Amino acid sequence: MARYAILKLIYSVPTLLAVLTLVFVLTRVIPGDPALMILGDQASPQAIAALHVQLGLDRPVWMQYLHFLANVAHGDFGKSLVTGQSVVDLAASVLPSTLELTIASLVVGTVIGVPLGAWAAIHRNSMPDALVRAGSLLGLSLPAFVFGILLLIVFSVQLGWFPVISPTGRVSALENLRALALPALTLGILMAAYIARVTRSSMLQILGEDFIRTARAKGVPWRMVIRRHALRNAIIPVVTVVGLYLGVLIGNSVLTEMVFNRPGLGKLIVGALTQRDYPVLQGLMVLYTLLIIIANLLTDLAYGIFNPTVRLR
Amino acid sequence: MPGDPVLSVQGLSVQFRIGGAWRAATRGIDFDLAPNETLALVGESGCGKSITCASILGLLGGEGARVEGSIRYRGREIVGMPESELEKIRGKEIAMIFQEPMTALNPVMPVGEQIAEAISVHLGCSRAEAKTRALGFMERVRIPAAPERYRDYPHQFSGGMRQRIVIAMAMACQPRILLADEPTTALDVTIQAQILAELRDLCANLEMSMVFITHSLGVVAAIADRVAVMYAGEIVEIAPVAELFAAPRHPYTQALLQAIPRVDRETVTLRAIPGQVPAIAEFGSGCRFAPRCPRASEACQAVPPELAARGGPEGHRVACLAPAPVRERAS
Amino acid sequence: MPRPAGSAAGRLARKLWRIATANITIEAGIVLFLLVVAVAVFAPLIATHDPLDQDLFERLGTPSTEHWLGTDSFGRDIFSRIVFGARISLVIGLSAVLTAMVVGSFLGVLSGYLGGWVDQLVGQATNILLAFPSLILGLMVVAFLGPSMINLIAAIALATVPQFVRVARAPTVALRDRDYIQACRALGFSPLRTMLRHVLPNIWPEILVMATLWLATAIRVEASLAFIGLGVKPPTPTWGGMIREGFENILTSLWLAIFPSLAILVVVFALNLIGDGLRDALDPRLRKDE
Repeated sequence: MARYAILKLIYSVPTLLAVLTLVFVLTRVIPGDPALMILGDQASPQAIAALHVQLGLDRPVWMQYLHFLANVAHGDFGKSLVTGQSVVDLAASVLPSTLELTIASLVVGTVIGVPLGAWAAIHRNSMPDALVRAGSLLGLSLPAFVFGILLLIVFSVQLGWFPVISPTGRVSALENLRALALPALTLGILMAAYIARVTRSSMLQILGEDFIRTARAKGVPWRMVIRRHALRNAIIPVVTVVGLYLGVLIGNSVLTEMVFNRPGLGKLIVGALTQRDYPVLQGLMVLYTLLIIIANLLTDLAYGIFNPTVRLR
Repeated sequence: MPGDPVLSVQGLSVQFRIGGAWRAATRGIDFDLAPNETLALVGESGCGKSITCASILGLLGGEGARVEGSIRYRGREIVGMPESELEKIRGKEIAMIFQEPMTALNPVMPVGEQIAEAISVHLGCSRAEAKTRALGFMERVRIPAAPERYRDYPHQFSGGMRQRIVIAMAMACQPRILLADEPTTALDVTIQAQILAELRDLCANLEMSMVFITHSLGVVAAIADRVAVMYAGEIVEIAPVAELFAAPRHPYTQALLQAIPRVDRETVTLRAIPGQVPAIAEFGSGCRFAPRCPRASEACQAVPPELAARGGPEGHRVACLAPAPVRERAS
Repeated sequence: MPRPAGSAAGRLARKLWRIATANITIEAGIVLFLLVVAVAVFAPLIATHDPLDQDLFERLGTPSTEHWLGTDSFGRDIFSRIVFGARISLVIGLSAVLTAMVVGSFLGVLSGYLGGWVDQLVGQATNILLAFPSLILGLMVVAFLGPSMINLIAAIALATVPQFVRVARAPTVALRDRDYIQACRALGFSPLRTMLRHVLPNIWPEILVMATLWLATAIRVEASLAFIGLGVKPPTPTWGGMIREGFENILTSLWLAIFPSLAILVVVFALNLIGDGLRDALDPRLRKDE
C-alpha cells in the first residue's frame, strides 16, 4: 500500500513539472513588463532596470526557468504585487476555508447521491427512477453559480435562514456551520446529480451479476442483498468518480465563494485576476495542481480500500 | 422409493413475457424427489433445466416471469409463497449451487464471511459461532488451510476451490435438498471428478436429496439415482439411471444416448439428431420433438403426449405416443 | 467491426435519424436547442431594443410591456441582451467544441496509428489535461492571456481536446495491425488516410454524443468564466456577465440574475437531453459492435 502510494507520487512528478512549465511560459507571454506593472507607469528607467535585475529578468530565459523551479522547490512563490505579503502565507490563510467547503460538499454529494442512485436502480423504469434521472439531468445542467444564486435568493434573501454574506474573523462553530451550509449544499447537490447517475448505472450492472442470485439463493433477505452485496460492489466505480469530481469541486468552489462572498482560494484568485497580481496567480495555479494531484492520489488509495482485488496486488 | 417425497413438482410451467406475449419456457413438468435421492435433469442448453431449478427456489418472479403449477416442499406450496417465507426456505431447507464459480461469489466479501452469512441469516447465531461452523464446512469440502484462508477473497482461489466454497456455502445450513445447476461444467475434467465425488459423499453423509442439472450423460451415470430427460421445456422421459441407459424409450433419449462417443464399442457410429431445438416462440401445441422425430405421426402434432408408464414399469415413464417397446432386460 | 466507410456511415446516419425521431427526450432537446439557435441567428429581428442602448431614466426597471424582462442598472433591455447573449454562448461553445473535435480526433488517430514516442507524448499531455477540471484550466489560460473571444475559445477547446483524443485513439490501435490496413499500405494508399476512413465510421456516434455533452459543458464554462469576470468584455452582452451584473443588485432586483440564468439552464439542459438520449440509444449498438 505504502509502496503503491509512493509510486503514484513519483508518477505525478511529470504532471507537476508540466504545469510549472506551463505557468512559467504563460507568465512570459503576458503582454507587458512585470516591472512596469509593479512600479507603475511613472517609474524611471533606472528603477525598472534595477527591478529587472532583482527579478532576474535580465538573465537568459532558461536560467530564469531554472531559477523559477528552484524557488518553487523551496516553497518560494514570491510576494503579492498588491499587498506585499508572501504568496504562500496568503494561500495558507484561506486554504482551510476552501478545503472545509470542498470536503463538506463531498460529504453532502455522496450522502445524497449514492442512495438516490441506488434507489433509482432498484426501482428501474418506474417512478423513482424517472424522478432521479430527470432531477440529475437538471442538476448537471445548472452552472454552480446559478444554483448558488438560486439557493441564496430563496434561503437567505427570502427566508432569511442563512446569512447572505459569510461572517469573517473568529466566529462560533455554529455560526461557521450556518455559513457553510448553503455553499456546501450548492456544490453538494450538484455533485449528487452526477454521483446518482454513476451509482445508478453501476448498481444496475451489479444487480444482474451472478453473485446477487447466489446471495438470494442463500436466503439472504432482499434488503440485505442490496446493502451487503450489491451496494458494496456498486460503490467501487463510484469511488473513482467521486475522486475525479474533487477537481470539479475545487473548480466550482471559485464560483461558490464568489456567490456567497466566502473567503477562500477562489476569492483570492479572482481578486488577483482583477488586480493582475501575477505572483499570486502563479502560486495559486501551482497550488491547484498540487491539490488535484493529491486528490487523485487519495482516490487511488480509497479505491484500493474498497476493492480487495487491487489491494493485494 | 421409500418415504414421502421431499419435493413434489406438478404441472410446473414457467412463462416469460417476450414481445408483449406470454411464452411458456417449460410446460407440464412433473416429478417427485424422494429423501436421499439424486435426480438428474438432463438436456441440451436452453431446454428449461435451470429455469425449473430457479423456480423451485422461488427465484423467478417480478414483471417478466410467471410461474404456474405446483411445487410442494414437504407438503408446503412454494408457488405463490410470500418472499419472507421463501427467504426462510432458501439456503436453509433448499440450497443451490451454480455453474460459474468465477462469478457466483461476491468479489468484495471474504469467502469465509459468505459462508458464515448463510449460517447467521438462518440460525441466528453469533458471529463467532457462525465462523466456527463455516470453518467446519470449509474443511469438510477440503479447502486446505481453511482457517488461514477464511478472510481471503474469491479472486485468490482457483476455479475448483471456488466451487468448493460455493458448495460449503450451500451445505452450511444442512439443507434437505440441494439444487446443483451444472456445478462441474465450468471446471477442468480432473477437478470435475473430484467435485462430483465430494458432492456424492456429502449427500450421503448429510442425508440430502439432490436435483442435479447437467447436459452430460456421463456425469449422470456417475452421480444420479434417477434421470429426467428434458426437451424444449418438457420432461420427455424419467427413469432410474440403469434402466434409462439400458432401455431408453423416447426417441429423443435414444438419439441422445447414441450421440455419446463411446470408446468401449467397436462400431463408432455417432449419430447427430437432425434438425434443431425450436425457439420458445415456435412451440407448437403437440409434441415438441415431433418435427425432428423419425416416428412422428399426425397424432403427435395435435396434443402433447402425457408422461406415463405406457406398458413399462411404473418408475419408468415416457411422454411419447410411439415409445420403443419394453425390452426384456438381461439382469 | 469496420465496414466499408460509405455504406456504414449511411446506415448509421439513418439509424441515428430513426433514434432521434423515435425518442421523445432527444426530440425535445433538439427542438429546444434549435429554438435557441434560431434566436441567436435572428437576434436583430427578435430583440425589441438595441442591447447596448442605455436609458438612464429606466434603470433597474421591473418587467413591463415596454421591457418584457425589465432593464438592468444601465437601463438596457434585458430581453434583448439575452437574445444577443445567445450568440456569444453559441459561437464560443460551438467553435471551441468543433476545434476540439477536429484536433482531438486527429491527434487520437495519429497517436494511435504512429504509436511510439508520439503516442507517449500525446498520451501524457492528455492525462495531464484530463486531470484538470475545465473551469480551472480555462481560468488559468484566460487569466494569463486575457479575456478575448479567441482566447476563450482556445481555453475551452484545450480543456475539451483530451476527451476526443481518448475516443479516437483506442479503435485506431485496434485497427492498426489488421491485415487489410497493412494491405492498404502495400498498395501504396496513404496509411493515415486509410486509418481516418476506417476509424471515423466507427467512432463518430460516440464523437457526436461527446460533442453534444461537451457543448453543454463549454457553454456552462463560458458562462462561469464570464461570471468570474473573464468573459468577453462588457458591454457585449453575455449571459454569465449579465448574471454577474445582476448579482450586484440581487437584494433589490432579483430578475436581473434570474432571467439569464434560465437562458443558460434551457440551452444546457436541451443539450444534455440530446446527448443523454443519444448515449442511451447508441450504447447497446456500440456494445454489440465490439
